[in-house]
Amino acid sequence: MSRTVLRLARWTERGSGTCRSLLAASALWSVLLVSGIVPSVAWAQEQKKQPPPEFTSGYFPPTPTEPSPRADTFAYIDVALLAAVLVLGTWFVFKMRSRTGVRVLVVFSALYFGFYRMGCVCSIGSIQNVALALGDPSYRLPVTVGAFFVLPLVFALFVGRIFCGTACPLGAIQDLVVLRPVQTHPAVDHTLGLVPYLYLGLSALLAWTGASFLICMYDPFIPFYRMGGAWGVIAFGAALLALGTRVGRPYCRYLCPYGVLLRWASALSRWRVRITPGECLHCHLCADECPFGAIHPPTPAEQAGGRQQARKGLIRALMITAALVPLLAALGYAASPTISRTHRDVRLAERLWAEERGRVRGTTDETDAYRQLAQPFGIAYARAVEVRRRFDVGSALLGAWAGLVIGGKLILLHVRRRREDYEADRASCLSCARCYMSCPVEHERLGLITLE
Amino acid sequence: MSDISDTTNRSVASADKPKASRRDFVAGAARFGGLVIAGGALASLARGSRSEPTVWQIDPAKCIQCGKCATECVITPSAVKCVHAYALCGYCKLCFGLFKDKRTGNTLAAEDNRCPVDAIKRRFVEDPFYEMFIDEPACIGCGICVKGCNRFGNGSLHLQVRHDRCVNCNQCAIAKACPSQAFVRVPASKPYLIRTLRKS
Amino acid sequence: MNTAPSSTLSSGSLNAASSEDVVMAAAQRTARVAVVFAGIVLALMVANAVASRSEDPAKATRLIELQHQLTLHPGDEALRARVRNEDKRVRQDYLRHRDFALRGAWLMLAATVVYLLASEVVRRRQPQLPAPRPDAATRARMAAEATFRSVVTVGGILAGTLATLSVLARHDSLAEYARAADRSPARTVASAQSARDASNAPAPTAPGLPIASASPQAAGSGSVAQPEGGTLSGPGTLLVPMPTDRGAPPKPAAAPELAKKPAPTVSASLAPGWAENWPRFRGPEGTGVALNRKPPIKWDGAKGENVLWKTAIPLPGWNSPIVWGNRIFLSGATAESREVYAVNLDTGAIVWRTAIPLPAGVPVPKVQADTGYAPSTLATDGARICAMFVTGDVACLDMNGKLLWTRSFGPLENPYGHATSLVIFGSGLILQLDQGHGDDAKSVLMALDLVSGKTVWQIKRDVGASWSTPIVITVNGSEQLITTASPRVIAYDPHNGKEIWRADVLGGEVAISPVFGPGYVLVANQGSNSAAIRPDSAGDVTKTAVLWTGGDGLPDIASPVVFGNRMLLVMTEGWLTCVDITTGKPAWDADIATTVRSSPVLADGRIYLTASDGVTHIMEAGNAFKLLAKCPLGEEVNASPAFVGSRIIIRGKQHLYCIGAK
Repeated sequence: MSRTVLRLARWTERGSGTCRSLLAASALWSVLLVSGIVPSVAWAQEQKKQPPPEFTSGYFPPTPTEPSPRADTFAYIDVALLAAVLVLGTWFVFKMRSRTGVRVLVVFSALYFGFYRMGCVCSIGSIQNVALALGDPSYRLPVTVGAFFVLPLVFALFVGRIFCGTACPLGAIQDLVVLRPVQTHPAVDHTLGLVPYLYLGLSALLAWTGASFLICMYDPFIPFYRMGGAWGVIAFGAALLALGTRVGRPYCRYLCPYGVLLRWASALSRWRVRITPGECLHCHLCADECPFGAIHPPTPAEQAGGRQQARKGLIRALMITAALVPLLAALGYAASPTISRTHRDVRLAERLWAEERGRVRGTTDETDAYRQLAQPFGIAYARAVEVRRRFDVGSALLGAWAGLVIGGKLILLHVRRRREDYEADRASCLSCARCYMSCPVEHERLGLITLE
Repeated sequence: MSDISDTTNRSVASADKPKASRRDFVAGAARFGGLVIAGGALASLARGSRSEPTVWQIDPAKCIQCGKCATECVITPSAVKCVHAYALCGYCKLCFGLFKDKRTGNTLAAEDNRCPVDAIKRRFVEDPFYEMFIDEPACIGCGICVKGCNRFGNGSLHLQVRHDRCVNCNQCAIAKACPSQAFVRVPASKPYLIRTLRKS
Repeated sequence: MNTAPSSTLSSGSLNAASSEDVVMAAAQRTARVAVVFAGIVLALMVANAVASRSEDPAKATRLIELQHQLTLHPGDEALRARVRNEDKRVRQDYLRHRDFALRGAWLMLAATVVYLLASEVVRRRQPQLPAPRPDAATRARMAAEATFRSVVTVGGILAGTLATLSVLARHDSLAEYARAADRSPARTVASAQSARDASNAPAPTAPGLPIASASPQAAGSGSVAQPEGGTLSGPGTLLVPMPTDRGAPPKPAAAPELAKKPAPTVSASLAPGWAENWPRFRGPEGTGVALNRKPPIKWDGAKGENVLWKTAIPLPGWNSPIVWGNRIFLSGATAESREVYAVNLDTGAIVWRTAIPLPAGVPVPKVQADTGYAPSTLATDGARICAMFVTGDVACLDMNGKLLWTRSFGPLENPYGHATSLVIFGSGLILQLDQGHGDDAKSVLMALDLVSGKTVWQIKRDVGASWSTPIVITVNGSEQLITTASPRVIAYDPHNGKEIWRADVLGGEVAISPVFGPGYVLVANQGSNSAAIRPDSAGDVTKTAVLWTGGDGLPDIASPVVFGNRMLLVMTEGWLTCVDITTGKPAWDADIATTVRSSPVLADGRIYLTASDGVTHIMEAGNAFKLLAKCPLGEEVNASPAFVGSRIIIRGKQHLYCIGAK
């Protein structure tokens, strides 16, 4: 017996060729094991190729280390800091009317929520967590993520979009690069302003079906905070920042899906930013100062026939809406198979199907992995069909939503709101406090100038 | 500095603007409704014990060592590292996580060493056993050693997200790219799926 | 806190002090420098990123190529040095690029911050006089119509996009699948509404009979899985008497209680015509014993010495040839196609080849090269030929190559690919479909009716995936089907699939087929034991009927062969251990220092063992290792040869050889 062991051991050492040495090694083990040199462990049942040895030198296998993730407590600290920034922001914007204070908060948010926390989790992204929790019963919304989602909205219900102006790390990085803003044409503003609604709909659909977190994947600024990321996204972010030096906060105005929710909440807000501390002089300096086009002039005096014309326009808008909503819903439903390909389960099942039928050549990593894990194909198809059903509903809803958004915009274009003075639009104002110091009345209040 | 808030002005103005006050009432009602809906929805979504934060982890049973962990992570080098479940290891002298299957000798030099960054090391335990361990700062998470260990050995080497490095993106970039859907969200209180000896 | 406006206003009075000019100019210069600096850093970072893409240490192509060269020329020390240098370079480059990217990112950040600060200073120091401008309200009104138009355009674009997406959705394979699932009731497991259940459901089972569920405690409690279905008619049955040269039944040494019962008579169960043919894997008995053959002892494939003919086989396959009459049958397959061949024994001509179609919907599993797509050896009863492929498809053909029926059992959950060969017993084809890990109740043993292909009986097996082929033996006059798998040997009644006995003596990845000796069933497998088991009791006999277990020379691919009271175990590395089957102790061992995957054959008092390099080692079947001859073939061989009359049929990697004295 010991002769065999020695010869096998020698052989293992010699080890010419993988198979040989490998098998020799395992043969050696078998010999050791069966001959009782190594007391039998239940490794044969474990399907292990090499038995874990028993050591005679008192060695004991160490346990692999498990460095813990960021403690739960810190997540609550994040929430507390968010709340603190929002409270301070409210105080700076409403009580102190201090742009400097707001700037300090912006820098803090960029440093803490941005560079330190690397932008995750943010309120914008939390939309998807909420949508996923709605769609996937196995995913429970973490309390802290829920707080990130709801805190800015609650603040917006009372004091407007303080979050955008102070706490949002995506807003902060853009706010810091606003250098020489130009006023955008209202048509551009209104048209591009539709994009966030559509983006919100699409990303909620993709998160609800479990396809992906679109907002996170194409978050243009997070690569800067993390100092790394996909090249396309970095380029996109750099382009947005370059644009942002002239067009104030392009992401916030023309992309941000959370901004949509904040607009709604802010439109109902209890208090609003008041530009002038006294009586408006109609000098429109504030409207020129606002880099985000959020300050609207007083409504001009009505012209003859204006009301009738407006009513005609409104009817036209309503008719377009009535046609657009079912049309886009139907088209959305019809496009569901394509849209559902954003989900990996659908892609996998379709690929498997095509491979099986010889419609495509070769295999992909995904189908290889599926085969390697030796799961029945029916499961892949059944999962995909389940996902597809969700997409059928979701895509139709997405189409209807797009129709509503566009129609709603057309309708709102014809609804006239009377403004006596220059006012910050509740929905669009980002609470950055830039306008305060542009107002001559504010200067007078501070005793810096005297107005005749 | 005087207290200038909207409310004071509004209350003065509301006297001669009844329309505005109706609007205020509607807005207030909507505000209240919004708060109730948001609170209720969140409470229902976040109920239960599993509403604690989640982190990403690799299920070693699903991992196929495609190598994407090394390239897809948002941080460089990847937060995914090779982890050694010592309890499963056969302590082979000829470790196939360490050595190439096509070798010209049994040295630890480049021509025989499987690891592209020399991150897997060994130390002598007792004849003929060697303990393999991972030099984590050097490891790039490519899974080449894991492949070798799985193919020829016990699979004691496997890839895991190391949470001292992971920034815990809301959407993990590797999870998105993982072909075998091996990335899963796990509760932050149990952040690892390290292989253990199966209980018989 | 209000320094900014005051400075704005004071500068607005255009009372510019020279010191302010200096600050302004400095700020402007700083901003410009910061921009240029950031630009340079950005360019360097992009260049770095592009360069580092080709320097992924895990995919360093040049290094991998060099390493490959080195394995081909292991003695080349210069090459070795180059490998090491290249490896060092790749890793240094990788780390350099990584550090550069990080440093660059910080520098970029710093430059941006400097630029922003400088610009802010410039902005604050530039005079900003309040200057009322024309009424913005008029502009807004003029914009209204343009806005309306562009919003409508967005709607149009969106409708267009969705319409395009719907057009792209025309080829909807999921809908195709759903329709197919609706049509086929057998595929309900995959239907949409059972998606959730499906994830827990077992692998789709063959249509037909329900499979008897094996209770998980079967092994311990003695309650045994019961088969479902009917019975097979017996082999028909000409019982060939035990060859006398196998020696007397051994005296039980290790388990004295066994001695109370008289030793059972154990023999092969053979149907008419089997003895002179080679109807299945490892010959008539399935044990590698070639009765009444006079094979040559000298040949050379390369020189053509004693090679009667040599025929190229179109498709690859590691299955072994079988012979009936003057026909040799074998199969070959790739991922795309598979065929069964009949070769004329006398001329080597391919008489017919029949393509076996791939059934729709069954994927071709990924297999290892040394499993291939046709690892299972065929079986014939003289009227039909059955073939099985790694996909789990079984085909039955008549002797003229006409396809009679097919059955599909795939995909089979097997890490290397299903390789168990086919066994015919009586009117049935016996399939050992072992899969999974054993505790997942995926393995099944079944008998198909040779005429119709319908399932006659089937029984679940609580074993993991195996690659061994069962044998049918006769114990005290009644047949037993002996199966080996991890972790146990189980004997069944081949007529109806009822379990007779089981012994938990195996483990690891069982690829070794059982053999038998006088009075005993003999098994061995690397990763566990070799063992001798008395097959004449029932139930779990692990503690009662296992004569001995041994640990020497355990094979892992090649099955053993028994001669006299010796069992020859062949390890893949060419380590031979001859075990005394009465005690389990090694009688002799030898190292022929070559890789062997083919199983040995006993013929004419000699052991024929063909190594992977094609060299057949001919040894004396005796009490000591005595090599009689080494006959090269000149081609890789992993299949086991077939012996008929005075000829040996050897399947090489590409050719089929007939060896015989000219």
